[in-house]
Order: sequence, then C-alpha cells, then structure tokens
Amino acid sequence: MSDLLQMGLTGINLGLMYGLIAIGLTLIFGVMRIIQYAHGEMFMLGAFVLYYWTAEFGLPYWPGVAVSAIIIFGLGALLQVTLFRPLQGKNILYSLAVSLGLVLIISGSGQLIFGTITKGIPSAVTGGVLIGGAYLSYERIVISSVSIALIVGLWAFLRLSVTGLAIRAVAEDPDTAALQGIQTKRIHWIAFGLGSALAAIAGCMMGSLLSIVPTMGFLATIKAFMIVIMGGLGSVIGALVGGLILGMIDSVVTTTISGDIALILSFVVIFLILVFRPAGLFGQNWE
Amino acid sequence: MKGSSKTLLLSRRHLLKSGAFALAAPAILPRSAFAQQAKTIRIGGAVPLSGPVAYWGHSTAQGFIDGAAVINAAGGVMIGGEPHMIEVINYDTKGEVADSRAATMRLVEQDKCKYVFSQAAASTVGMLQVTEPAGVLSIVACWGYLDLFGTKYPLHFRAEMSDYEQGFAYIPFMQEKFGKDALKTAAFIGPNDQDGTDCHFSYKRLMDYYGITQKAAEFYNWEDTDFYPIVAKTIADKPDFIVTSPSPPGITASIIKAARELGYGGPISSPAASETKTILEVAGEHADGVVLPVTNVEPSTDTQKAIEKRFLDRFGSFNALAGNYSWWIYSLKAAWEKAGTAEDTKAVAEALAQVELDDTYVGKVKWGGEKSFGVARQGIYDCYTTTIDKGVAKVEDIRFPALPEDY
Amino acid sequence: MTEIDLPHRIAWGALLLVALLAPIIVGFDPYLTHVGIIIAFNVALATTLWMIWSLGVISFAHAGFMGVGAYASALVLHKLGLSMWFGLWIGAMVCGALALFISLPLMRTRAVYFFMASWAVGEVIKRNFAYFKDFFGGWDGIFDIKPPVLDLMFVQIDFANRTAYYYLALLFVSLTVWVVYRINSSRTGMIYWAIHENELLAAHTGINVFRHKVICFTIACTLVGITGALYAHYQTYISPKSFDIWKSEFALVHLIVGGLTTVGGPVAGAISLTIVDEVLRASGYFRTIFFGVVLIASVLLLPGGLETIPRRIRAIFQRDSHK
Repeated sequence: MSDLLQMGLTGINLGLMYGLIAIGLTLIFGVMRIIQYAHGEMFMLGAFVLYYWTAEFGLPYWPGVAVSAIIIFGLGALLQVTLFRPLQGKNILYSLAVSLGLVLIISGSGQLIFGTITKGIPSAVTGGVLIGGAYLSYERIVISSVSIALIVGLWAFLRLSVTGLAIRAVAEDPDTAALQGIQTKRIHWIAFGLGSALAAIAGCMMGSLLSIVPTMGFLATIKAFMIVIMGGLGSVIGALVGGLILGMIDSVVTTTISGDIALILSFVVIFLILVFRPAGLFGQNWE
Repeated sequence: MKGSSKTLLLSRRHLLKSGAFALAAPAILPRSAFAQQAKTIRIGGAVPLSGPVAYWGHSTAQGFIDGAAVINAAGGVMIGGEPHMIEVINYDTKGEVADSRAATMRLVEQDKCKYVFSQAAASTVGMLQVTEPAGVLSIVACWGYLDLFGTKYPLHFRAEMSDYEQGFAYIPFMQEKFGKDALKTAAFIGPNDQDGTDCHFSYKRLMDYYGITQKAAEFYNWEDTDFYPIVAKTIADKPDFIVTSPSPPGITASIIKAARELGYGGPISSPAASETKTILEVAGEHADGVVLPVTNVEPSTDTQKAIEKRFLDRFGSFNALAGNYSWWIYSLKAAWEKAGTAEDTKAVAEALAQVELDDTYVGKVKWGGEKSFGVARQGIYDCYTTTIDKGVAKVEDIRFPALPEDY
Repeated sequence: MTEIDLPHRIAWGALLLVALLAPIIVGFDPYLTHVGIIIAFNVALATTLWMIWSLGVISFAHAGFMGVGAYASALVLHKLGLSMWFGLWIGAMVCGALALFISLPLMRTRAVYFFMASWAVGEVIKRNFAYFKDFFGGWDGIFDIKPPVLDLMFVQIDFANRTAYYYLALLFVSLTVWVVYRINSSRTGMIYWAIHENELLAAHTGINVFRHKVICFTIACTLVGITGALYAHYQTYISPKSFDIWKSEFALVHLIVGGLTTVGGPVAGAISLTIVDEVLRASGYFRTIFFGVVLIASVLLLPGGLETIPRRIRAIFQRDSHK
C-alpha cells in the first residue's frame, strides 16, 4: 500500500516538474510557431545564475530565483529580437537550425566558462514528512507548489490580462491581431522572454533538487518536447496533462518493471497519441 | 577540503587564461615548442574534449600535457644516451565510437603517433580497432568490454583501476569500518548501457569473492532526471549497502539524496564519482556514510602537493580524477628508458608491464593481471578511499588492493 | 525539365571527376581517404533526407533507418554467414518494409507533429536495438563486421583496403544522388513539390497525397538503409549509439547550410561541413561552439544556403555589366 502511494506521489511530483519545464516551450511555440530547441539551454542558464547567486556569492535563495528569471527573460527577449525575428514567417526549419546552433554554442561555452565539474545548488528547504508510509520531502512539496502556481498563473495571465489576451490573439492569427492594433513584434519578444523565464525557474527548482552541468539542457529539451507534443503545442493544460502522463509512466513503470521499458513506452505513447490525435491531446489543429 | 576550495577560487580567477589555454594547448603548443631541435616522441590523445563527457577527457589530457612539460624541462627522456622530447597531440572524440576511430586514425596515420591514450569505453572501442593492427601502444581508462582486453591485445594497457580492482581495497576497508556482519547483502545501481552491464559483472564477481549476497540490480536511463523510482525499487529489498558504479558525480549525488530521503541509512559506495564537492553540494546533510574509493581529496605527500600546484598554475583547476591519471606518462617514460627504444612498441610494451613507480599522485603503482587476463596490462595502485561524515570529506584509508591469488 | 542544362552538367561532372581523382590528389593518404568515405556517407544521408523534405517534412527517424540497414546487414553476416553483397540488399529490403509499415500511421501526422512523431520512431528503433540484447547485441553493439571481398575470377578486390572502399562508397553515393535527382526531376518529383507547397490543393487536383507520401518515404528510407549497410561494414562496429538523434540532426544541419531547393544543396552542405568538423577536431570545446556559429551565421547571413552562391556570383557580374 505504502509502495503504491509512494509510486503515485513520485509520479505526480515528477509530472508537475516536467510540466514546469514544458509550459515555457508551449507558450513560445503557440505564439511564434517556431521550434525553440535551445529551451533546455535557458533551463541550464537559469540554474547556473542561481548557483552563482547562492553558492558563490552566498545570497538568499528566493531572490536568486527571481533574479535568474529576470536575467533569462532579458536573454530570451534579446535572442528573439536578434536571431528569431528575421526568421518570423519563414520556414520552420530555419528557426530549428538557429536554435540548434544556440544549443551547441551555449552548452559549449557553458563548459568553457562554468567548468565541466557537476555542481549543486543548496536546497531552500530541508526535511520531509511521512504520509501513510510514503515519504514526501518539503523540497518536493515546494517545487510542486511552484509548478502548480506557475501553471495556474500562466493560464490566468493568458485568460485575464490585456497582454495575455494580446498574446492569445497573436497566437490565433498574427495578421488579424495586427489589424486590431496589437504590436505583434512586442508580443513576440514578451512571449519569448516569458517562456525562457519559466524555463529558468524550472532550472532553479530542478537544479536544487538534482545537480547541474552545462550539458544538462539537452535532457530538459527532450522532456519538454515529449510533453508539449503529447499535450498539444500551445496548450498550457496540455503541458500539465502531458507532464503528468510522462511522470506517471516514469514512476510506475520504472518501479514495477524497468527504466528501459518506461522510456520505450513513453515514446510509443507519444507516437500513438500523435497518430490518433494528430495535434496532440489539447492542441490546435494547424498546417 | 582546503584543496577543493582553493581550486574553485583559482578556477574563477584563471577563467580566461584556462579558456585560452584549452584552445592553444592542443593546437599550438606541442608542435611549435619542440619543432625539430631534438628527437621527439609523439603521444596522441583521442579523448572527449567536447560533449557531455568532456570532463573525463580534459582530466586525462591534462596529465599528459603537464607530464610532458615536466619531463621535457628536466631534459627529456634519455634513450641510448640521447634526449628525446615528448610532444602531446589531442583530438576530440565527443565520446563517440566512430569519432574516436577517426581521431585515432588521424593520430596514427597522419601524425605518426606510436603511443595513444584514451578515456572511457566508447573512445576505447573505437581506438582499439586502429591501434592494435598498426602496432601502436595504447593506454586507456576503460572498465568494461573485457573481451577487448588481454592476450589478443598485447599493446593495450588499462591504467585506471576498474571498479573490480578497487573493490579489493574498499570492501575490506568497509568491512573493517562497519563490521563484517553489517555488510552481508548488497545492491547495484548503474546506467542501462554497456558500462553499467560490465560494471555489474565486476560487482558480482567481487560480491561472490567476499561472500556477499546480491539483493537487487537496477539500471537507469541516461535520460532520467529523477531517481526516486529506481532507488525506491532498489531499497525495497533492504540491502546492507549500495554500489553505484559507474555513475558520474551528479547522478551519484542524486541517488544518494533519494536513498536517504526514502529512509535508507546504509553505506553507499561509488567507485566512479570522485567529486566530493559535487556530492556535498547536492546531497547536503544526506551525504553522510558515502564511501568514495580512489578519491584523494587531500594531497599529502610532496609529489601530490607539487602536482596539485602545477595543475592549478597550468590549467586553473585541479581535481582528484586528473590526479589519478597523472602518473601514466611517467610510467611510459620509465618504459622507454628501460627498453632503450621508443620505436619498437612491442619492446616498450614488455618493459612497461614491468614498470613500478613508488611515488606518484596515487602512491605506489604497478601493472598486474597476468592470471586474469593473460598479460600484465592492468594498472594497480594505492587506493585512497575518501568518506563523508557530518558534511566533511576526508581520506580515511590508504591501502594497496589485496588482490586474490589468481588475479 | 528532365534534361540537365549545361552549366549544371559541367558542375556535376567536375564534382564527380574530383571525387574520382581525390585519392590520387591526396597521394593515397589513408587518413584523408577515410575523411572522403565519411563525406560520402554524410552526402548520402543528407540527400535522402532532402528527398523526404521534398514532401515538406523532415524525418528525425532517418538515422534510425540507417541503423536498421546497418544492423540487418551485420546480422546477415553474423547469423547467416552471408557477405555484404547480400546484406546490402537484405538491409535495404528490411529497411524499406519497415519504412512502409511505419509510414502508414506516421504519415497521418503533419508538419511539426511529424518531426516529433518521427523522432519517437527513431528513438524506439534505437532503444529496441539496445533492449533485445540476445538478438541485436544490446548497447555492446556488434563487433567485427567484415568488409566484403569481390571475386571477379581473374582479380580479387578486398574492400578492407581503404582506397577500394572509398570507390565502393563513391559508387553507391553517386547512385543514391542520381536516383534522388532523377525522381525529383520527374513528374513524381513535381507531385512531391506540389504536396510540399500545399497539401490540400494537391489533393484537390486529384493527387493521391497519402500514397505519394508513403512511397517517397519508403524509397528514401530504403536508400538510407543501403548507406547504413555500407557504414556498418566500413566501421566494422556498430552500436545503438551510432544512430541517435544527433546523427539525424547533423544531416538536417548539412541540409540547411547547403540549401533546401535543389539536390546540390545537401551535397554541398555535407561535403563542406564534414571538412569543417574534421579541421576543428583539435580545438576542444570550440569544435561544438564554432559549429553552432557556422550554423546560425549561414542561416542568417546566407539565406538559402550554399546552393545560392552561384546565383549570387552571377548577380554580382550582371550588376557590373549594367554599369
């Protein structure tokens, strides 16, 4: 019984963390229709900003997360304006190529600048609680809460705020949105920055839970893409559901059968979802 | 720990310097420095210098770059009364088999290297297909692929002690520390690729030798981010201790953290992690009870201190792993001088197998394994075992592996 | 449009001539010959990927299918004792059959979802090689895949010789490029580009879009399966890691840097970038960093890729003549 509970708790936890990595990507994709392959690199840089903030300069944790998010917001906006804006409206392969180039540059320079030794960010909270025989650390509770808060926050932001409405309008149809007086260029860099900042916060959370190296971005990108594709590009709810599905597969199948099978199974599930629902679970159908 | 914090400080200060050096060292330094004045011996490195495992590649290459500079400054290698200078050329393999094969071809065919070194299984597999047919001597750190090691590959040396050799040092140590009765069962966690499978094989041999029962063996994907599921499965069988070989420091730290959080209190040994600072940073207060073989965090002898200082000056950083690899080039030097040639690699290989060094970063070094592999090509040396207790890492044990009679 | 115009004919002829003479030019240097063979493989990989691209999609399963060809040929040698001359075709057939089978559901997905679905396919192929240890050898891979010997009664050619293998690889890559070129410049090729431009419109003009997509994908995968078999017998060792997503991604990079509209694009991209990668080998981290810079610079500064260079040069001269 406690084993089952542990499995479920770990799965939900993992799913929420995966969802956190993926929402930024789904936002960027939904608005700009570009493949941001360097999303994981933003995740990595966010974690390293926090690392230098806390471990090197000894400053407190939560302001560090905010600083990291702001810096990466700026970086994301800058990248959008300089590299991705000229490609807007062109073939999707070009944005894929540019972001692939960014992956190589950022992770290579990261190794050069940060060094290749694995680092760890001291956790914000320690300790944990036993629930019905299953252990739940406070750190994981905090991360799950942050994840839920950000997912709900992003959802509300897109539904309720004026900028959010503009973002959705641009996502729906950029030309019509421009006709209504929305500055699509501005919306683009805001959305890109916001998506990157969300990745940075995910990096801070996962970085303190696990360890950080300059090459870790690729793994985050893989997970984020798996989830976003499953849930449907551009859908915040889809990212949450996709994350939970993946988290549950990872937890339950790894614990009961093996890690190999869990990974193969998650790819098979993605493939089947795409075959039967070509736009993902909650995605918009689009050419 | 003093050493580590200094490393960090310097690594920041020397950031640009080391960055520039990383570029300049392999590309420019060796060729221009000793062009044509004296006879040269070329050593080629086909090591991962970029990509996810670059850390290992750089640690290995640094030992050769530093060693060559030291030996050259002291007058070079004396062969037949004539000084020979050492030149080191490094090529990147990205840690891939095909790329490593290409890099080795370039070293052997274009640069005419008769001696090559490599790091990790993928690079070794690619390298061996080139070096043996070409009569080139290779020195590597590789734990698995045991069918690629032995009499069929007489020019192939494995300098780093694998988890198997280490076991004859750290298991007796753990039995002394925790008591024999407290270590009756064990579990294994490793990656689900060939390295993990091979290390599991070594681990099983070790456990059989010491009469320890295996409770569980679990394999994770390199893509895994969270280790809760795999650790939960492992500790469900309640093993007395866990071996996480050959997991890199970051993953080891995550496994330790997950195990402690899920209520596992037993010792966890990690024959590959060797980066205590990482483990302390990640696992925090959970790191107590971790045993790290072949990890010398406190250079104590004059030689060790000198190596640490030179590495810090030259590369801006130093780690225990680079220290472990720093003796390879000195054993080659001894072999050349003993064999009286650097041309005839077969004679050098025979001489190298006889070389014993007394004072290196890892203490006493010799080559062994005749009975296990048919040839003495496996490096064996003093095992510095570091343990973590109350958030402090220190060397708790130094011993030469008590290898079995038939090793 | 089936006939090649003269300047292109000269360009292709010159390229083939240089390729034929290359071993002599480099003085039979074994290492440079090796680079030549790698270039040949990369050209074949990029060109066949470009063929799928003429449908308007990019398959990340491409390296996976290359792996299917490689594994099939290696297993034919090890389990049946038949040389590469059989393995090559068996590999191609297995690859084609698998591609046909998978493309039936796969081609239901569109645009960016196709990228990801094909990526899942590639990943599952790779992981199956790793998972079924007894049959495929697991992560350990397959060793000792011998290159073939050609027995022509009076003379024997052993392809363990690198120069001989170079010409073998050159033969097959030339055939691959030729096949792709011919299909592309035929009526069928026009249909592919019609689908590329607008699938809905193509369907409304009476084109059986689904069938063409499946056939095109199958042909491209069959061709890359042949390349995979050649790769296996050249490297003599394969493992699941030899066919991971990065291989498909680098083929895509070759394609983008080279150019997307003609078959000359992937050829130019694969040749130039393989050489750049080789030159950068000694530079450590800068090998990856510089590669990234080249990629971004070529997309932003040379839109359209290397294939547009002749046109740009011509444009310069024409402008001059106006003065």
